[in-house]
Amino acid sequence: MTIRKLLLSMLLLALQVQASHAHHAFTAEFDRNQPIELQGTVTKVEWMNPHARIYVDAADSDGEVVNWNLEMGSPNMLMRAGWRRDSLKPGDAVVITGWRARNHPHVGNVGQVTLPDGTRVFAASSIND
Amino acid sequence: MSTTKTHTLLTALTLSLWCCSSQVYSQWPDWPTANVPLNASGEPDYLAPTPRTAEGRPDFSGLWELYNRSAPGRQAANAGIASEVSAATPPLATFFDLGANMEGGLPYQDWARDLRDQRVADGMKDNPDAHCLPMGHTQFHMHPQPRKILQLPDLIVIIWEANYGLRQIFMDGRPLPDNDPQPWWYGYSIGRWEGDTLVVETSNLRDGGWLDVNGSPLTDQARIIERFNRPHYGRMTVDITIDDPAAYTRPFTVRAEHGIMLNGELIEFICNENEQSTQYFDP
Repeated sequence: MTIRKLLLSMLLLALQVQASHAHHAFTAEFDRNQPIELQGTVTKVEWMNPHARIYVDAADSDGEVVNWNLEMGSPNMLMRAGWRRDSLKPGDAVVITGWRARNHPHVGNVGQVTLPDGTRVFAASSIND
Repeated sequence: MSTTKTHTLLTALTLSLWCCSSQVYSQWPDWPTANVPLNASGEPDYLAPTPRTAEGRPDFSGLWELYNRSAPGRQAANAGIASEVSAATPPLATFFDLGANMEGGLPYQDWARDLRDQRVADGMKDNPDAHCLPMGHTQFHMHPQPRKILQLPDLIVIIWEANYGLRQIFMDGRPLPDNDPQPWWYGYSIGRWEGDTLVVETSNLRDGGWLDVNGSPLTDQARIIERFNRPHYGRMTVDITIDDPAAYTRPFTVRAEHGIMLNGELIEFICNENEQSTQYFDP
């Protein structure tokens, strides 16, 4: 990627920040004080409303591999941010940063995804709701 | 830390995450908007005269998004044009707090302020939108997802991408109903022209409404007056007056400001397709 393209990407990403608010009640569902970082394998993608979801096999805090249910933004916001329905596929290795649900140990909200090729993309989280 | 400060901090954190990220994938397929006025450089002329209908009325038809909160790569030029909000206009509303730019904030009755505070303390979990229900006119006006206006001589329709909301404004001279036994989520809206201003009056609203994400109440006693203007091709302002004596000590007016969204389209949003969030809400 050229410097110009990189700068343009950063500009576009910054422009999208204000457009990234989802509509659901983040605070009621997730705990800002419980950040998570998961390294695992995508098992399923639900490209559906009101939130796209990815399911990832990754270790929990005890080291046991479990299947996580991870919420992203809605497909319309993700599409305008450059995602496509096949951007992630089962079998892809990903690193997820985000926040844990208040009432379930293996449910979370995705802040950022590091893709198999190493690029990091925002997931249109509803954290600002 | 106040809610506002928390949002500011989180927005800054989000911005920092964005700036560390890389953009990778293709965009939603564009389709050129028809009849866009162009300047001498061949670029969209957002300051071109207001389009008009065959009857000579301002034509609000088109796809609109919040001014200066645009989708990537679409509205940079439009966003660079001066805002239509100033000290001489109603203050700009925000999605989270309709009265964020009003001196002293919204003029709540005591019970209404208490309810707003409780809704914030509850993480806004009862916002109708969080349950895939219509979020109300003011949340729709301030929502970052676009809206499409279809204008006919006797009817104006607004399609909100957010929650795929649908609103009718009757322009055929009918009065507001006075015997409706079941108030509606969207109320009942009639419109008329005052010069180039489209004036829309709405009543028959359900009780228990949310004016903003923080949950400022709206009751079934409310009347809403919206004054739509399109001062030039690229801009639309909506001055929204809330007259709800059951919840507020006086009527108040705030402004929503939108820019024309070119070469885009609404994207389907069927909220109940896979709603899972509410099962994880704090009880």
